[in-house]
Amino acid sequence: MSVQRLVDAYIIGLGDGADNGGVRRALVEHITSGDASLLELVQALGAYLASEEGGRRSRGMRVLAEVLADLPPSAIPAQATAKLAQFFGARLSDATCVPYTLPSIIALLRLPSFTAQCVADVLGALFKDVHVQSFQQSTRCDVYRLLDLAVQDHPDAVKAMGSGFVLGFAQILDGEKDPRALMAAFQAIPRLVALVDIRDNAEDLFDVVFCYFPITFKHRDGDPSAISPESLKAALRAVITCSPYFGGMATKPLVEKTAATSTSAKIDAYETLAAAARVYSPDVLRPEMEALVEQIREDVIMASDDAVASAALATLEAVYAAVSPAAPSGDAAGEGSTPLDYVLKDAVFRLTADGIKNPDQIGRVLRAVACSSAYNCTVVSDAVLPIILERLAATDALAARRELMDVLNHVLSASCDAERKAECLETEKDSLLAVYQVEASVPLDKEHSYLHITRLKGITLLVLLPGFLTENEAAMALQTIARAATERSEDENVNKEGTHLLVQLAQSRPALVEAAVLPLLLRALGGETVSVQRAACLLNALGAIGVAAPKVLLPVLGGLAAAMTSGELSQAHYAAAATTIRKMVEAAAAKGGDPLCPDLVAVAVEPLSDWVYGASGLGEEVTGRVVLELAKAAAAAHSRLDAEAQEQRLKPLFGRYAEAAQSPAPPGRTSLLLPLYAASVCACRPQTRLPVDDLRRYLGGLTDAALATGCAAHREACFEIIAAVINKTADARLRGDLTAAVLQRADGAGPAQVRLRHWVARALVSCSDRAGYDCVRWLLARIGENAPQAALAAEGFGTILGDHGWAVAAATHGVLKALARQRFYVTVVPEITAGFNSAADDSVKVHLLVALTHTIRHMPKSVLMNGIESVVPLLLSAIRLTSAGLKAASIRTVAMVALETPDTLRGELTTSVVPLLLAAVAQGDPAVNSIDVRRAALDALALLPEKYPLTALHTARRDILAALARARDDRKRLVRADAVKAYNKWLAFGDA
Amino acid sequence: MNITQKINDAPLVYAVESRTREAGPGDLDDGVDDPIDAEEVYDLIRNINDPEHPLTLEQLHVASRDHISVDDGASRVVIEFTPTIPHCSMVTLIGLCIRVRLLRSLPERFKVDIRVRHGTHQSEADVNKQLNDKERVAAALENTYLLEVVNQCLATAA
Repeated sequence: MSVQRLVDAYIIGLGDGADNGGVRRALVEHITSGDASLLELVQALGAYLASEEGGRRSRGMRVLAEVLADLPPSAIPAQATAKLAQFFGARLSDATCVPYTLPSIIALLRLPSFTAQCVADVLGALFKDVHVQSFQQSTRCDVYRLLDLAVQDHPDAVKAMGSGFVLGFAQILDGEKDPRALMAAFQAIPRLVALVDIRDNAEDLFDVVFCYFPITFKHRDGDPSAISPESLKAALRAVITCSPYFGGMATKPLVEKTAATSTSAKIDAYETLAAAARVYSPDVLRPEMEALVEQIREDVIMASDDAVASAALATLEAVYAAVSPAAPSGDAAGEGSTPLDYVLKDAVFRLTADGIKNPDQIGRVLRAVACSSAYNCTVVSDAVLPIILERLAATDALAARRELMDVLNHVLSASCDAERKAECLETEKDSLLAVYQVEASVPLDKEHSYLHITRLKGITLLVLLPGFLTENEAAMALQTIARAATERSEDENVNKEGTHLLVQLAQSRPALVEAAVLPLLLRALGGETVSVQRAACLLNALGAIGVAAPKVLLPVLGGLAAAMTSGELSQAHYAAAATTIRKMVEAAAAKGGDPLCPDLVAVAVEPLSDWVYGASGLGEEVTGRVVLELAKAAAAAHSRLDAEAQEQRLKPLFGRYAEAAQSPAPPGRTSLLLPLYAASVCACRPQTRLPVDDLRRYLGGLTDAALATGCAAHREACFEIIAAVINKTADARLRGDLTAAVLQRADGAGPAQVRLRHWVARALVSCSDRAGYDCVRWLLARIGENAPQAALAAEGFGTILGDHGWAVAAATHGVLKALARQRFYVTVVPEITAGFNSAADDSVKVHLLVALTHTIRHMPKSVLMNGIESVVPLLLSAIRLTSAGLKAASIRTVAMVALETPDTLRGELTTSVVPLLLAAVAQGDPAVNSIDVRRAALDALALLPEKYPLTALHTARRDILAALARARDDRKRLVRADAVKAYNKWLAFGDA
Repeated sequence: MNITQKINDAPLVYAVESRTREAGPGDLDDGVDDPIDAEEVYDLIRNINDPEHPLTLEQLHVASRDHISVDDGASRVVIEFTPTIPHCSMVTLIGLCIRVRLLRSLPERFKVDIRVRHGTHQSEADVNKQLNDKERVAAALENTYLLEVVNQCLATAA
């Protein structure tokens, strides 16, 4: 098809609103392949481009623009570029063509043949002929994009235009209102300012930009532009702070805006000032300092919003960093006031007044100023410290001491950076040490806890001051904090703060903490007379230090392990100590990554496993709990070892436990320790080879032992290993063989056989193996027959889908296919529903509801909401169950349905849902309506007013309010709190 | 009531205790009764907003845990609160807010006495009488404007 015919078709298509993609591609291909030239296209468009009718001209320009945009640069001859630029420049005076001329020019701008002269011609025409604000938003955006591209791609040409470009830009932007266009313009201006000297035109540009400050806009739903209020705010801020020439004009209005009533405008003004302080000349900031400081002080002291106070303080710091000299000038002392006086005079006045009001706020202001530079830190400390220390020495009033210490702490914290430590601290060292000394006269009760906390913070600061305390003094200080963290039992706030400070110190002074604090805490943990509460405090402190400071982690773990294995601990504390170790190992393995894990195994897991295996001397119950915690720790650390290291570690474990695990009656207490073995085997990577000759025989042995043993721990450990091995076997045939080898040994329907099916189903369902559903159907059949183990079979659905510490879990490299749970839901739930509907026996129905509830409680919400309508009647029946755990789970699921798809429940709202929830709220038999059930029901009731209109619920409102009023007198505090929340919601619901 | 003109435009603001009662093992044991105590009542009223400022009664130290006494067995609660200034004209409104909050939160069996702390307000006796007069409280709550103000103060507490 000839170019002319294509062009005509294109133009007709434009008139009809048809998709012209095909025609455009044909034109582009013609020109690119050399069948036609760009000149021919222009000639073909000639009748349109030269038409006297505006609409025809504009369509012609549009065709040219769209084809040009798609043409590769090589298809546009260099000699044509100048002509096209000239042509388009001339077209800018034709208002109807402007919307399509701009994209054409943008397409040409990227060409290397588009010379500086072309840029000057086009932009000259743009500034002269186009009244940008009279065009629609997309055209205006194109203008700003064009200007931005000119700045980026043709800096020399823009530079040569200089003031003309800046003035033209300012003129174009004047009156712009659309946020999308503003965003495009704001992004271009900083680049322009970096390129062109705007000294002479700063005012023109500033006037058209600053009028937008403070900028606000609401992002409408469905608006495709990716502009957020924050990004627009940041773009305007970047413009206001892009040139020091704006300083003289911007500073005063910005300072005035800090007094705005709107919080967001206030914060915006502060943040812009902070950014501007780094760019503007200090000379323009100084005259406004007094007013700014006054405003900041007011905002910090009277802050109803912490964000305002934080922004104000950050601005104070930035501004003082800009206006204060880096070092004292020789004649400064003799001259009049300095900017620091605005802060210091007021602070000194407040600190010398009888009662110090707002000490925390005064301290924060002083700290911000002191943090701004080393010089300011010294000046602030010199001015304030002597006054505070003098008053502290003179007063015994505890409240006043606390307030003064509060301010002192803030001032000291500014000196904790080595680069700006105040010089006067050394001379005041003795006084400072005396201030923070333990005051025996201060009672250790809740009334004075804030004073103790303030003192502890001060001691921490002294330790953190670089080079201030000697090693000995620092060690003593640390021990004081450690004692506060662990010894006082009157007020847990002091314990918590002490622990928090210890963590802070462990991060900055790990060696000191290891040498001075660890032995103290570990020694305190030993002995028979340590109370449970104190041991909890000590373990909490040790755990917090270990988790927060990687350098102290291994010594803490090693110390705790040694304390356990040496028998220093009281029997009562072993389980808690093991829990602390487990938490530390889990956190360290997750945070520290794989390299740390061999050390974790060597320092904590191995010694403790050896100790438990040997004669630990612990009772059976404590052993069980300790072993469980150690197993979890072993799984966490072992799972992150590489396959080779895992194989190395497995050898001694198999030597120790494999035979016992495969024996129906392991010697001594070994059966209790098998979770340790199971956790490590289950945590292996899929490629790790177990040290057994024949995997089939190994699993068979475990199956036989598990079916024969009477010890639950032993049986579960064997099943966990079987499930993990089957799940990680990648070869489907081998997996099938192993499954068959295991299941063929489990004839009958005893409890062990049922449990085995749960675990095999878990292993296979997780990796989306269809054989898993055979086990599930076997279990459903036992439930349907109401077999003796039907209840156990139903309960075990939690095992199939629930989380487990190590067996078939994501953290231990279990193979968990993405849609496995969805598949289970789609396959099994209809079977349960059908079974429920056809069951004649009520106990079968109950068991099916139990299985359903376990299935649903472990389903992700996204899966659950798919086809939930069919399950809702069963869920409502499940709320009538007598088992509290299942009842609570069902209520939570119903609440989730109300939250996500409220219409599903609408028909049964007042007839079924509300009466069932009201029955569940009532106090009665704790086994039926447990705390959990009552709280879940109250949460669900509180949700209803948010999801349904009053018309749907008004008939039930009176009954609900009466039931909730009764629930306010529940015997349990947590239930009462939930009842109050729900009651108030319902009260407001009716009023509304 | 004109609350645009603030009675105390610069009240002292105190740091709030971040601590909330932590759940202990007994909290989830249905066999153990949790009697209503001062801390629970304090938790109910600490977040009530001051009518003048966007600050809570806790932040302004108007309400304090130590000034609440509860006898669960006898179903009695006595609350004393401290106005920020002795001539505070908002004192009855604050008392009313506390009363309404407890009316909607405590079990109905409780008798609640609300008083201004002795020596902290110039019209202490009048205020106390007004706050504990059932009929005056009921009449106040029939005033829709007043009820709206009370509800606004309680919006943060629920």
